[in-house]
Amino acid sequence: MIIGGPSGGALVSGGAAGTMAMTTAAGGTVAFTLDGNAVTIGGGAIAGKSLALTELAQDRIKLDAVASSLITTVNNAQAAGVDLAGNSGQPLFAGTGAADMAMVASGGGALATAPASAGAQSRNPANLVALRSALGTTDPAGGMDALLFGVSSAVAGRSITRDALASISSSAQVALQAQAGVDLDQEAVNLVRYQQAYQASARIMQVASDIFDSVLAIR
Amino acid sequence: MSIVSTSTGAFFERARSDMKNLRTQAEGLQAQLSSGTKLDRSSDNPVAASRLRALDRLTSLSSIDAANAGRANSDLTLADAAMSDMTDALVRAQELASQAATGTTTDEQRSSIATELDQIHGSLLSLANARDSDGHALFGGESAGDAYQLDASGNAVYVGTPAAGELPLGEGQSVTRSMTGPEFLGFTDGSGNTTDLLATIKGLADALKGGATDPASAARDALGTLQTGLDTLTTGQTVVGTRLAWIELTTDRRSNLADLRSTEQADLGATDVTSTIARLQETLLVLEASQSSFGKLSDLSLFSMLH
Repeated sequence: MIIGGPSGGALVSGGAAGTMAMTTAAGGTVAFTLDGNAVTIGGGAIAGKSLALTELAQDRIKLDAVASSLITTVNNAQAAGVDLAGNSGQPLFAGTGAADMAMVASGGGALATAPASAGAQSRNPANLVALRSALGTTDPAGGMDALLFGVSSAVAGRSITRDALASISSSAQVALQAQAGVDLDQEAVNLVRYQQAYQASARIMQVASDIFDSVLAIR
Repeated sequence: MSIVSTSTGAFFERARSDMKNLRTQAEGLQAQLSSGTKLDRSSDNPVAASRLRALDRLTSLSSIDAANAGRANSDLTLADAAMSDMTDALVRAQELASQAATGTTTDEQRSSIATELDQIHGSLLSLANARDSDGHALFGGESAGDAYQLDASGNAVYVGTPAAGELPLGEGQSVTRSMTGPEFLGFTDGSGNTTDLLATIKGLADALKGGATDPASAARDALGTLQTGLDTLTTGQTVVGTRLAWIELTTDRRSNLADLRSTEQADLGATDVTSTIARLQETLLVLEASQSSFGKLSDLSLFSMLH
C-alpha cells in the first residue's frame, strides 16, 4: 500500500510495515514522514486537518501583523504628545502581537491628547487628531476586514467544493445501488414465477407418476 | 407490462437525498426568517459581509459625529444666551451713559450711575466667564479655568487661549464650538485704540466717580464707544447663529447619509420577508408532497400482496 501519490513510499508491502510519523512545527503546522522520508498526503481527513492548520498559521501571522501595527501606531502617537498631567505620553498597549496585546494605561488621564508643547490640563486635541490620521493611514480596521474577508472567502470556496463532492458521492451511491441492488418487486415476480413453475413441474411429475401407476396396475 | 428496472436500494437512496436537500433548504429559509438576516456567517457571502462591516464602522463613526454636533450645539446655544444677556446689560449701560451725558445730572447722580455701571461690569465679567456643557470657560478658548480675571487694579484681563476648539462633524467638516472673549468683546474705538467692552464700562464708571474733569463729556465719548461695542457683540452673536445653522445643515446631511446606509444594509443583509415566506411555503409544499409520495410508494410492496 503506497501513500503520498505514485512517488510516495510503501506503508505496507507484503508482510513488512513502514513507520509513519508526524512532526509539529512552531506555527502549529504539521508534517508527515514515512520511514524517515518526508511524505505529502493528498487527501483524506488527515490531509484536511493539516490544511486547516496551515491556513490557521497564516491567519495568525496576519492577525499578529494587524495587532502589531495597531500597537505601534497608538504607542508612537502617545509618545508624541502629553497626557492630562502634562507628562510625556506613555505607551497604551504592551505586547508585540495579538496574543500578548494588553492595555497598560493607568486610566483615561493617561491618553496623550495634547501635543508635546501643551502643558497640564490642556484641552488642545491636536495629538488625538494626529492619532486618528495615523490610524487612518495604517488602517487596522481595513486590515482586519481584509483578514476576515480572506478567511470567509476561503470557507465559501471550500464549502462549494464540499457540496459538489457530496453531490458526486450521492450520485455515485445511487448508481451503485441501481447496479448492485435488487428490485424487490422484480424479485417477488421472479419468485412467484419460479414457485409456479416448480409447482407446475411437480404436478407434471405427480401426473406422470399417476399414469405409470395406472399403467402398472393393469393386469 | 415491465416493472421499472430500478433497485429498491437506489429508490430509497434517491428519496433520502432529495428529502435531505429540501429539508436543508427549508431550514435555511426558516433561519433567515427567525434571525432577520440573510447572512448567518461571513462565509455565506464574503463580499456583502465585508461591505456590511464597512457600513457598521461608518455608522459608529457617524454616531461620534452626532455626539460632537450635539455638544457643539449646546455650547453655541449657551454662548448665544450669554451674548443676549450681555446685550441687555449693554443697552442698560447705554441708557446710563446717556443720563450721565446730560448736563443737568448732578455729581451725586453720576456717582450712583457709576455704582450701577460697576454692577454691570461685574455681571458682564461673570457672563464672560460663563461655563460650557463640560464645565469649562465658554469664552476662554481651550483654557480649563476662567476666561477673564481681574488684575490688581480691577481691570478684566483675558487669560484664555487665542482660539476656541473645533469639533469635527464628519465628512471633513468641523465647527468652532464657541468664540473667545476678545473675538466679540474687543474692538477698536473712535480714536483707533484697541479696547474691549469691559474696559470701556469700567473706564466710564471710574470717570463718573470723579476720575475725569468733565464727566459729561467722558460719558458722551463712552456712548459712541459703547455703540461700536454693541455692534461688535451683535456681529459675534450673528456668527454664533451662523454656526448653529451650519450644525443643523450637517445634521440633516448626516441623517440623509444614515438613511442611505441603512437602506444598503437592509438590501445586503436583511431578509426580504415576503419572498422568503413564499419560498419557504413552496419548499415545504414540495417536501410534504415528496414525503407523502415516498410513504405511498414504499408501502407498495408486491410481497404484501402475496400470501
